[in-house]
Amino acid sequence: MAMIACIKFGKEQGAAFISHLDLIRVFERALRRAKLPLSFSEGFSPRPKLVFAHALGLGITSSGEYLDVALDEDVDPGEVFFRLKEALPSPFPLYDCAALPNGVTPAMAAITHASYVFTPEDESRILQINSMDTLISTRNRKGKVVTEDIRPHISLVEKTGSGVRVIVRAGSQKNVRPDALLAALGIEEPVPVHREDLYIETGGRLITPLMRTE
Amino acid sequence: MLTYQTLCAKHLDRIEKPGRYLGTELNSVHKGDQLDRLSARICLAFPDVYEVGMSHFGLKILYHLANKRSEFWAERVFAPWPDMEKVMEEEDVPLMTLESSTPLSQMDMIGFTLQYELSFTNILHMLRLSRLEIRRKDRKDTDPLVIAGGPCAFNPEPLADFFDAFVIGDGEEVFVQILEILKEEKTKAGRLEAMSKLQGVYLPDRYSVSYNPDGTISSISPDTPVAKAVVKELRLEDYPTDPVVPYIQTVHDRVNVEVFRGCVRGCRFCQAGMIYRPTRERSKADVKELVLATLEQTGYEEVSLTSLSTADYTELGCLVPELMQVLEPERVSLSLPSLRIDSFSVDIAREIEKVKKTGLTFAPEAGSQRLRDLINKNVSEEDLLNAAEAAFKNGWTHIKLYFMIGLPTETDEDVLAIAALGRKVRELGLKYTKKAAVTVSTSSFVPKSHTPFQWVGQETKEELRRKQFLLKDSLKGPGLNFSWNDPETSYLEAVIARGDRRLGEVIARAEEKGAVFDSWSDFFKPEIWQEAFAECGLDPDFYARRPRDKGEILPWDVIDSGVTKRFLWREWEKALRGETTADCREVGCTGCGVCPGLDVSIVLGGEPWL
Repeated sequence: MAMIACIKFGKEQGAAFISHLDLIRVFERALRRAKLPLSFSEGFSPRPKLVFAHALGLGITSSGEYLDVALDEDVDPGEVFFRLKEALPSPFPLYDCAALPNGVTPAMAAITHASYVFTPEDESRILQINSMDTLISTRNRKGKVVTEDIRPHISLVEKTGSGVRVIVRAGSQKNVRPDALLAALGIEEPVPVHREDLYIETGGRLITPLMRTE
Repeated sequence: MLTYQTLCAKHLDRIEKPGRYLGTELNSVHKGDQLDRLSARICLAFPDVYEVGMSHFGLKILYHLANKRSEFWAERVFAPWPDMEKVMEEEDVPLMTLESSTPLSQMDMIGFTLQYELSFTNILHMLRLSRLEIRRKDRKDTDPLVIAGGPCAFNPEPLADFFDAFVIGDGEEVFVQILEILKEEKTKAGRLEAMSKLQGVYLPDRYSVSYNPDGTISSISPDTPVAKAVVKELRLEDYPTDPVVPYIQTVHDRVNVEVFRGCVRGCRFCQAGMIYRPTRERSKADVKELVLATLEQTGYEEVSLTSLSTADYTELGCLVPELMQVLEPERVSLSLPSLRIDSFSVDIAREIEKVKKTGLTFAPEAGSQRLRDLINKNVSEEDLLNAAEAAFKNGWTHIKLYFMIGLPTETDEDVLAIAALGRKVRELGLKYTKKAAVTVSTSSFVPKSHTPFQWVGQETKEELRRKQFLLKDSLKGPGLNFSWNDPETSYLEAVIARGDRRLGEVIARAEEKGAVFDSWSDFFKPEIWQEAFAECGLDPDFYARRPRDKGEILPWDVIDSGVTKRFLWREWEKALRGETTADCREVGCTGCGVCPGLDVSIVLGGEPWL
């Protein structure tokens, strides 16, 4: 394995209905079409080594998804970008690509925050989080009802041009799902959600997975 | 306008797999920005769920043939799963094409493929969801032409009331001719008149059928059958190297290259082996070119070399290592759907499993030598044991054996011979591995039209079940597995496979009563069909169980497959005498009638033979 190519891509309209498992196949095939020197797993059924940063719920569009691809040879990130852009189906826009050193923490383990934009009929129902001290989420986990205050895991709620931006904790340590957030607010009707980006908190600031150095 | 995408967005919580309806898959064709340049728009319809339909290669060929011509746009539609159907009904949306969410009723033509009899109610259901009249006579002149093709079109009669036309045989040439007609002729009558002149097109309303008091057919008028369409060779340019690549996992999601069409081994139960004659092979160079070009345009990780019996491909021994040399470094696996029972096939299997390990299946079809001779499966027990031994020796631990139950003249002794064979194979395996396991998989024999067994009655469901239990009881023990299918669906399949025009009413009533997805065991409701038969005053046993006389006029006599009735009857008589008929490539012409009758010949390695 020579390098990790970290790829930033999006999911537009129709692509939002492609589940995470299907997304893996879409990228495996696009990477094969792009004729990149993929690094494969060993075993009976070898697969390219792909790690997606953070699974996205069905129906959510995104402009900030990340994928780490292990390559056997060094390839200029610009080259990876152009070859893959050509090969991806149209509802998957490609934004950026960075070459990361081997051994860099996988994005999946590193992600700490996600930024979502909600576009509800009534924005005040989400903006009201700013005036709340607690926000109780109730979930059913293996038959048991679990309640949790998710307010401490919501870092920012603000109005933007297109809706309401909410930055929440995300990743393997602590994760606030957008549907759980809506449910905790008592919003039952479907609300369009868009994921803007994923972040890693390091040294008190948020960086994107493309900027990982270690 | 409501599109599939807006429906999915609005009802996401209710639609299990939105990926079925997106229509934006890689290589899907969109001509919405050039509508004014189109001469005709058609929809290719597969009457089952997306995952099944997208695994069908014929659909991809026709999609390619139409869309590579700038003046035509072919879109796709599949049977919506009940979750989506419910949503469409609530939102008052008719059935639409996947690519552009255009109602099917706005097409110039809708073409259904007839792959299995148990999909027929889905066809009627899809017409209903399209808000088109189900019966041809009730549709308006301005409604789309509704046509069908595929193997079941070789007995089109049960669907004669519903379709304007059937296309019989190889589609590549006649389909393009039909497209040209859609361009030249603008009225339905004009289009049908022009189509009637094409070889391979059957217009059911030009034929009338009358019956004897006992229910058999007294005459078909005119008595000039429609000869199937046949291509002389498989041409490179007809093959889609850019097939649509689904987002979601389908049944067969891989590069499929048809290495040959037609099989002349002559298994007497096999309809495909009779109706797709003669064998036409692609050259090895063509196969390689198609495999590589398709990989480039799809990114698939698996290639399958398809045909009715791929181990019979003349140049397979050289082709496989040559392909593996290219595929192995790319971690692309190769699979062969049908292996012959011999050690050559095992060698090939060993060659291809370098990338991905797969199971091994052999199909002796019958347990006793007597029955294997009767069905003309030219395989001995020794062949099977040799092949199995070669497999175990090469590291396989699990072998699957496929058989049919209910073959003509079958006795309990023949059934028990299946179990004995299964045991022998396992014991052989134990010499090589303690883990040796054998799965015996059985299905119920369904007599099909255009085969030497077309005159035979199917066994009763009770008898088939009894034999299944007999086999199950004698296949107990470690390392032995047994699987079977429901004789109830095989029975309905047998009824429709050799049905006549009167069955149309039964199918229509069954659909009205809610029969859909009959090939799915969760959906199949035999009681609906029983009611439908009773209401129409028809006895299903008349079609499934009754042996036919040699002289009886058969409903599918309207179709000429090229294989003569005389040959089929001779094969039936030979079967009863336990005589086999060899492959004509080995012993010379066996007189089936296809080559002289349709002016074609066997093509081996891309070159005409004899």
